Amino acid sequence: MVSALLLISVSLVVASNPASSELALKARVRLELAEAFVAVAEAERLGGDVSGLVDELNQALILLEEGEMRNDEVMLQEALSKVEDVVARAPVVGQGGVAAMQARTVQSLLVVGVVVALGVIVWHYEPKIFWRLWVRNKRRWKVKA
Amino acid sequence: MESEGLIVDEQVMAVVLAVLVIVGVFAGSQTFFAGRVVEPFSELGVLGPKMKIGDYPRELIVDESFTLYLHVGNHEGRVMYYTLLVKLGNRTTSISDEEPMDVSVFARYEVVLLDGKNWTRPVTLSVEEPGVNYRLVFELWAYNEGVRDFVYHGRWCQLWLNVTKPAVP
Repeated sequence: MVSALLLISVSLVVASNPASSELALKARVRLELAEAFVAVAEAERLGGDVSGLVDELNQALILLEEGEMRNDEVMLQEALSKVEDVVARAPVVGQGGVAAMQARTVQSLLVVGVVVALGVIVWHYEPKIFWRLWVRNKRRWKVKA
Repeated sequence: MESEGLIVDEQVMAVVLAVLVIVGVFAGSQTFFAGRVVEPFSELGVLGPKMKIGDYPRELIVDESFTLYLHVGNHEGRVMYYTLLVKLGNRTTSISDEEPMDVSVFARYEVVLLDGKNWTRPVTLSVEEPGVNYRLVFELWAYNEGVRDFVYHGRWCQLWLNVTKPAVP
């Protein structure tokens, strides 16, 4: 109850002072940016394709820079929404990376299995097949003594 | 005759297997080491107004704008969040690869870069106070996920500037 009252009073103070609300917004964008970057780095570590997320983060950085320069709260809000979008999407990209990595592992194991199987087949059947082909190839040959 | 043929077969077989083993080990190692960066590093560069190394401003008038191009490259093997801090020091202020310059920040630019990517952007700056032997220093900082803050990355560039008062008409 006390914390709710505190929150309301802080909101009222912030709402009554546009400069401080802008400062709070800038600080929030910066905090969220750091969080978004950590989420993107984690998604990349899991093997996800984070290029789209990085593009969006850079758009947010441009909006933040211009918003700070022009004291434009709309730009700062837009930057914040982009950063929040990155935070929300990063775990999905990370999961996609995990699935892709698993698929690559299965693919690698299959390739190794095929190479080993080919080796065994060649080892076991190659002499028979080779000589059969050799005989078939040379069957019209006549040997003169 | 048959035994000679068998000996040749076994030799051929051994060679074929050896080739298969070598190819297998090579392919496996390539897969295992793919994407690993042996020596991670970041690039920092400052280019002149023509986007080339050279033609840097040296003598300026107070509040005179000049354009430079900042270049950052990521070869760290992972995504990086860089901040480029511009600081104005003088002959006595120190900076090294370990310690950043201990003066206030003049300008700040940020970018997130994927591994293998680089970023070049124009910046327009001006100096408000006259002075001799100013050092315009560009420091590269990177976000450290462990510390949860930007950490000096040990890369820096500088330009020496003389800034004079405008001539009174």
